Amino acid sequence: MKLQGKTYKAVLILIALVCLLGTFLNQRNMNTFRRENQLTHTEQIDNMPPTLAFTTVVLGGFRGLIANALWVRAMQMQEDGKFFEMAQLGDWITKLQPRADHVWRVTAWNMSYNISVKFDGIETPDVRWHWVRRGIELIRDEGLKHNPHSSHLYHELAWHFQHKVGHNLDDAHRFYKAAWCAEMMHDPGPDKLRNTEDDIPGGGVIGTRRDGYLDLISPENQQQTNRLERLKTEFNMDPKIMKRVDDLWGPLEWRLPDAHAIYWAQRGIDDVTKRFDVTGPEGKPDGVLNLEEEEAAGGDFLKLRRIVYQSLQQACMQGRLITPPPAMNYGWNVDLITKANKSYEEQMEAKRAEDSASGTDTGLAEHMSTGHKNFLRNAVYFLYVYNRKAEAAKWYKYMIDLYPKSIPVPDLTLDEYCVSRVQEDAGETDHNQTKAVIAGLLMQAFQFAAVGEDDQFVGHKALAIQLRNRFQREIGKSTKRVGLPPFEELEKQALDDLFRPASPYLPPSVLEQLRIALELPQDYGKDLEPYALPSPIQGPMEGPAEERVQDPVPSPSPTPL
Amino acid sequence: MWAIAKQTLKAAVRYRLVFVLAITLLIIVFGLPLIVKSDGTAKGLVQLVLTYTLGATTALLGLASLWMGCGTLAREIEDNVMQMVAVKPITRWQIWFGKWIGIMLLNASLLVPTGFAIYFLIEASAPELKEGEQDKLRNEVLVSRSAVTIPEPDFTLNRGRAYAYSKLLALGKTDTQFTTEEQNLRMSVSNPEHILAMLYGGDYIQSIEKASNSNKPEEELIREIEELENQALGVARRSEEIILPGQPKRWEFQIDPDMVERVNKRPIYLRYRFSAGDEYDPKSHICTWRVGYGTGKEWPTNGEPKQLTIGSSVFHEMELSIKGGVVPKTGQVVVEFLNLNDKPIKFELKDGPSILYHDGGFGLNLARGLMIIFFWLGLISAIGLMASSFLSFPVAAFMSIGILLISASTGTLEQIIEEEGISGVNHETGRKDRSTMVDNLAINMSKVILRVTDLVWGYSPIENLSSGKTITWNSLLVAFVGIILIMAGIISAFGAFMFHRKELALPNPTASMN
Repeated sequence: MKLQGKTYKAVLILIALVCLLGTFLNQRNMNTFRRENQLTHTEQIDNMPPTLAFTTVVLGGFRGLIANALWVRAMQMQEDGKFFEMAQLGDWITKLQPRADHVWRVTAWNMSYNISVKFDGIETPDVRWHWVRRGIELIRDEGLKHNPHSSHLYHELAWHFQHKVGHNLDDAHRFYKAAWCAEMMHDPGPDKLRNTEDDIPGGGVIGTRRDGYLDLISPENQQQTNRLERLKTEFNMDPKIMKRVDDLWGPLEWRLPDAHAIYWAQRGIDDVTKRFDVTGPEGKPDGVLNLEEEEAAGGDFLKLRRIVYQSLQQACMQGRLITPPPAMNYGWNVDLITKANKSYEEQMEAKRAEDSASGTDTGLAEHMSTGHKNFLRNAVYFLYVYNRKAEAAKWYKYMIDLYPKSIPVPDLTLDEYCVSRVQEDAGETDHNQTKAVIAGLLMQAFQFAAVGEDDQFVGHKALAIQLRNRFQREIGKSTKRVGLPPFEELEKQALDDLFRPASPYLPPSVLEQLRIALELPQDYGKDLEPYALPSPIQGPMEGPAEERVQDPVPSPSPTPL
Repeated sequence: MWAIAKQTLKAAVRYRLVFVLAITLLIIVFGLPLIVKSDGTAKGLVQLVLTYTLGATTALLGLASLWMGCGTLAREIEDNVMQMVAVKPITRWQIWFGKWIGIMLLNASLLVPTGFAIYFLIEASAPELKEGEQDKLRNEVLVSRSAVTIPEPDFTLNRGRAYAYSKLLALGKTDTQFTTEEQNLRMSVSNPEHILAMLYGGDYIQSIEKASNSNKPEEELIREIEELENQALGVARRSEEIILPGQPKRWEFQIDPDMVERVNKRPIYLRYRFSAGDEYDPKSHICTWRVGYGTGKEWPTNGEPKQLTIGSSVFHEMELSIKGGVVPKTGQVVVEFLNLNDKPIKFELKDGPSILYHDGGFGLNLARGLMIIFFWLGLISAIGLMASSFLSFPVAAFMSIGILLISASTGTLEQIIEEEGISGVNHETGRKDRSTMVDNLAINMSKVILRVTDLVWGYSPIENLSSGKTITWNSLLVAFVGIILIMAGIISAFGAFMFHRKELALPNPTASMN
C-alpha cells in the first residue's frame, strides 16, 4: 500500500518524533562515552542557556563567519572609541564562540579598562566600579564556566584583581577596594541592592574577620549556610580551596582584592598541574610539576606562578585591613613578609637559572634584586613601627648580609636605620622639617590608637621619640637656638591639633574613639583656638606608603549586584 | 507603468515575501531590545536599540530589494513571461521603471510601519524611566541636535607665495620697513606658509631656485621641496591639535544670534574627544573646562573651571546648563581648556570640540533618517534591476553583490590613497620610495570610486539618530540628488537601455519548466 497525502505526512512526523525521543534518551550515554574516551578536549556543558545552544548548534558553519564579521565591527568600534557597542558585540561574540577564551578576555578587558575609564574617576567612581565588576564577573561567571581549563582566563581574572582593583594606578582604586571590601563583608539582603534597609551588616561571605570563610567549610547554622550558598553561586568560590590557598600563601586578608588574585591564580595552577602532572618520584602523579612537566605546560604555569608572587608582594605591602569602609584604611601585612621574601628569592633563582641555561645575561635577576632590596628595607621599617622589633632585627640582619649597601652608612643599628628612613626627606638637621615629621608620626600614632592598633601606636610614638633624640644629638650645642621642645610638648601639640574645633584631620567618630582610648575629658580641645589655616608643619612623610585614615569613601548609592 | 508596479507588488505578496519580511521586521523591532545589553542606562539602551534595529532593517530590506530586483526581471525573461508584457502598448523603459516603482512601494510599505513601531516603542518606554534618566534621554538621544564646529584652519600652501614670503623674511626687515605690497603679502600668507618660511626658509629658497634654474628639475629636488612643505604642514597641523602640559586652549563657537533665544531654552552640550597616545590602554587624564568667561553667562556658575578626570579616545558630552542659557546674545560661545597632565593632549581637527544644541524633535529626525535609508534601497533595487536587464538571475545577483561589496570597501581605497599606491611603503620613512604606473592608476581609480561612494554612502543616518544629531533638510536634499537622481538615475538609464536592447524572443534553454 502506498501512503499518500496527510497519512504520509503523519507517518513521517511520527518517525521523526521517535528518532528525537531516541536521541534524547541516549544523549546521556553519548556524553558519558565522549567524556570517558576523551573525544573532545572540553567537557560537555549541561544546562546550556537556550541562546547559547541556539548559536553554537543551529547556526552551524555560519557561526564562524558571523563571529568574524562581529570581530571586524568590534575592532572598528574600538578604533572609533565606541566602547559601549563593543560591549554588546563582545557579548554576541562570546555567545557565538564560547570556547574561544580570548573572546572572553578581550571583552572583559574592554569593560574593565576601556569603558570604565571613560567616566570621571573622582566624581563618579561608582560608575567605573560598575564596569570593572562586570569585567570580573564576565570571566569568573561565564568565561570559566565554558572554558574551565583555560589558564589564560585564570590569569586574566587574577590580573583584574591584582592590577585593576589592587594596584593604585586607577584614580578610583580606593573606591574599588572599599566596594570590594563591602561586598565581602556585608550581605545586600533579599533586594540585592546595597545601602538599603534590608542589608545584613557583617553577614557577607567573609564577614568581619579576614578569615571569615572558615565558618563556611562546615556551616553550623542557617546564616552560615546562606553565606556559603552566596559564596558558591555569586562569587564562584570554594571555602576549602580558600583554606588551602591561605595555608599555602597566607595569612591573607580575604576582604581585600589581592587575596582573590592569589586565589584565582592558584586555581589556574591547580588546573594546569592536574592536566600536566603525569608522574612523581614514586611513579604516580604527586601534585607537583617537575621541570619536564613545567616545560610541557609551557608559559601558562610560569605566568600563573608569577602573578601569585606579584600579588603576594602586593598583599604584603597593602594587604592588611586596618579600618573597614567607609573609613577604609589598609597597610602592610607584615605576617606575609616571609612568604613574600621567598617569592622574590624563587623568582630571582629562576631567572638566574634561565640565564645560565641560555648562556646570556638578561640582567633581569639584577633588576629583581633591586626590588627585593627595597622590599626588605620597607619590611624592616614596618616591622619596627608595628612594634615587632625582634622580627625587625632578624630581617635587618638578613638584609645587610644580602645587600650590604642597603643601609646608608655601615654599622647602623636598627633604631638608627628606622630613624634614618623617616629622616630621609626631613633633612639632617632642619628644625622645621624634623618637627613636621615628628608631628606626622605622632598624628599617625594617634590615628592607630583611635582604631585600637596599639602596637602601631607604640611603634610610631617610639619612632617619634627616637627621631627627636637623634635630632637633639645631631645639633649638639645648638639646642637653645634650633633645639626641639620636649617630647611631651610636641605630643600635646599634635593632640591639640587633632581636637581643635574645626580641625580637618580626623572625622568626629574617630576623634571620639581616640578620646576614649586616651581617656581624655569629654570637652578636651573645646577651649582651644579653632583651626584656621593649614598648619605649615603638617608635611606629609615620604617613604613607606602607609595609608592614613582619610575622609570616608563615599558610599555608593543603592546599586544592583 | 503603474500597472507594472502594482503587478510587481502583488507578486511579492503572492510569494509571501511581504509576509515573511513583515514578521522578520517585527521580530527585529520588538525582539532586539530584549537581547541587547547596554551600559545599564536608558540612554545607552536606546542608542544601541536604534543602531541595531535600523541597521538590521536596512540590511534586511536591502537584501530583499536586491533579490527582488535581480529576480523579478530576469526570471520573467527566462520564463518567457516578459514577452507577453513586452508586446503590450508599453515601452521597455516603462516596464523597467514600473518594476522599480513596485519594489520601492514594497520597501515603503515595510519601512514606514517599522519606523512608526520604533518611534512609538521608544516613546512609550520613556515615561517609565526615572526623571533624571528621562531628561537625559530627551536631551541627548530622543532629540534632534545641530552641531556648531570650529572651521578647519587654512592649511593651503601656495608654493609661489611661500617662496616670496620666505625671500621677504630672509631680508630681515623690521615691521616698519615693509612696503605696502610686502605688508599685503605678510597678511595673506597661511599658517603653513608662515611656518615654512620661519623654520625652513633658507633650504626652501635654495631648493626652489635650483629647480627654477634647470629646465627639467630632478625628481630628488622636487621630492626635497615637497618634503619641506609637508613638514611645514605637519607642524601647522600639530600646533593646532596638540596642547602641551600646563597649556591652555581656547575655542570660539559662533551660533546664529537670531537663534540664541531658542537655543537657550534647552541645555547645550560640548562634545569632544581627545587622544593622549594611549589608545590601546586608555588612562584617565585631568583637565579643566570653562565656558563663557567674562561674558556674564559663565559655566560653571561658581566661577571655577570644571575639573574632570576622564579617559582619552572616546567621545564625551558635557552638559552646559545654567539659568537663562549659556549662550550670550552675540551667539559667541567661548570654551577654554587647560591640560593639567604631564603629557600632551591632542584634539584632532576632524574630531574637534563641537557645541550641540536642540534643533527639533526626534520624530521628524527619524523620518528624515528613514528617507535616506529609503533612497539607499532605491539605489540597491536599481542595481539589481540593471543587472537583471541583460544577465541571468544568478549572474545578476553575483554582479550586484560584487558592486555593493566594492562600494563598501572604502577603507581599503582610502588606504591606497594614503599610502600612495598599492606597492607598499618604506617602513623606515613611512613614505613611498617610488611611485609606479600601477600605483598612479590605483590611486586615480580609488579616488574616482571614493568620490562616487561618498556621494552614496557618505551619510550616517543611523549614527546621527543614535547620537541625537540633526539630519538636516539640506543633507536630505543632497542625498536625494546624489543617490536617486544621479547614481540611481545613471544606473536606471543604463538598465533601461540594456533592457530596451535585449532580444526577448530568443529561445532560452535555462527557462524553468513551471
